[in-house]
Amino acid sequence: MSELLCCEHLTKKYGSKVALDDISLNLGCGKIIGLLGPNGSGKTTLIKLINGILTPTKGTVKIDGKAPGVETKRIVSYLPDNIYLNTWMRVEQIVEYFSDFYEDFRPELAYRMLENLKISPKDKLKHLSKGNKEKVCLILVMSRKAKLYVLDEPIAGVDPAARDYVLNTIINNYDPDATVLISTHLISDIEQVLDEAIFINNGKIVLHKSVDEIREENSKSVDELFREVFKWW
Amino acid sequence: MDFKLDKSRAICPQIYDRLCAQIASGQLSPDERLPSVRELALILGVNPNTVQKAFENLEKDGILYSLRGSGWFVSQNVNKARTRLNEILNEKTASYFNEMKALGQDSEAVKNYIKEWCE
Amino acid sequence: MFGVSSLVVVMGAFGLFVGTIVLAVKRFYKSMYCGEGYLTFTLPVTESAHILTKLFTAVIFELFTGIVVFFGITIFTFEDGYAKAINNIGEFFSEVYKYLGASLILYIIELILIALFVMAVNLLIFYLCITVGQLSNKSRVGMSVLVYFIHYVAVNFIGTIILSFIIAGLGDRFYEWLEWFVQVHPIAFLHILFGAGVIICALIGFIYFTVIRVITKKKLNLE
Repeated sequence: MSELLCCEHLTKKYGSKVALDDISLNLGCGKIIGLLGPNGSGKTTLIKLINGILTPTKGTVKIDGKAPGVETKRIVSYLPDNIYLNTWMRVEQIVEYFSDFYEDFRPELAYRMLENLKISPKDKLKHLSKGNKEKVCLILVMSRKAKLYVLDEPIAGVDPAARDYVLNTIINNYDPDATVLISTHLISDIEQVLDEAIFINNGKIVLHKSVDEIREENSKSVDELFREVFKWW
Repeated sequence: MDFKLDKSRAICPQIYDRLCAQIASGQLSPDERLPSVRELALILGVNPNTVQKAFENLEKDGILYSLRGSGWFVSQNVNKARTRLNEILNEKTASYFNEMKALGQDSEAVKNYIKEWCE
Repeated sequence: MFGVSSLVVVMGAFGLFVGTIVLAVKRFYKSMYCGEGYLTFTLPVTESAHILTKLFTAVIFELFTGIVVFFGITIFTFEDGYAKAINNIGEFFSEVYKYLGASLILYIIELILIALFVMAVNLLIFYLCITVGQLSNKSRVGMSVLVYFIHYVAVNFIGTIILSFIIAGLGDRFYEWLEWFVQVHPIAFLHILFGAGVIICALIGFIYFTVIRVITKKKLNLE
């Protein structure tokens, strides 16, 4: 199976500040992978580079063998950590918007998930609670049949019941041809769902292993290891 | 079907062991159909790959069998599951015993504690 | 009395125009370089398409506003004599048509094209200032305004210099030939003039568009 995501010597600098320092990374298909690091570790920078909304200073990032562009945006489904939708739209309008732009969008799936949450398609986005707005964003992202899902802090600032909903949605949408990359600093809530974990700090990758390997080698949960590794940062 | 998982140990073997226990104790009968990989993953809140691997390992050891399109089923022969359950129970007993010894208890004391607990 | 109300009308018309441009520019900024940018730039759409659709919509809006303003002002000016005024204008145009023939229609088309391209270039200048402004890490709006002023000064300065050189450089022989040509082939001359105008405007627009596209593609700096 060819690499879904391949970063080689990827570096991003903002002036003199180094956000990502010579990162090399390979992600395969059919995995749920955690990008774990403290705030300011470079997670969001890496995610923006994958999505083509930031350009590297050095090195390359390739999705399915291609540099970020129109082709990769067709197969990457991105959930940013902030709500970016036009809040004047109604839910059904934003569903239509996604249908128009993304060939792989499945409106029936989206409406089914919305119905389960008792969110009416006629509701205006700006009238929804913050939690519901975030769920709508997640639903839109997961309703696409993409090859790479990139979720930036999907459970931060979300109540525990909603967290379960997010995790269940991720499990439910699991596709052996796709990979989900979850970036977060709240590890204990999601580690059960992960196949692999990447520890990142100060723009460098500290560790990249399967989670069961981490548990067996350290006799600790991923969260415990994380706290230990990043204790001094 | 929902069991609590210890995150400080690999999850796949835990699922394996727990299913062995359920089969060996009769909670799951021979030829009974198990939940699908996705269903069990949802119930436990874990990665479907982990469940898949556990099922595959159980199949390799003859404890489960799969029918394409139908799912996963408990084998007729539950001996292997019983053997594994025994291994687990022994491990747990040994670990309990060692811990009690480390707290300064001898075999008699341990026996008494267990007796009291069972009553 | 007439003076004051006509002043109000003209200011109103001006305000409408300015408003349209402000709206178009704001829309561009918001959808490309604010939070909405996350949605915009993760769509499977090329940068060219993004810029062109916004430009196109804005020009249509300006055109529409222009037409509305035009009718508003003319109705206001002519009031009761409106029907008569239309008649007069109709007669005027058919007289001109007898003289110019098909060229009249071509002229009108050329002038419309120039108007459209000029509107587009104006908007593209604003788009460019915003695009360059977002490169800055500190004050993006401030930077955009600065770029606008620099651009204004630079264009005027360089433009004047270039024009002076061209005008001076074209020798007397050229001006003699030009005088002759205008007298003998006035219709063709206007065509060449307008045609050149269309091409130059389109070229300038293309240059601005390309710069915006390249910056957006290579140096996007969303926050």
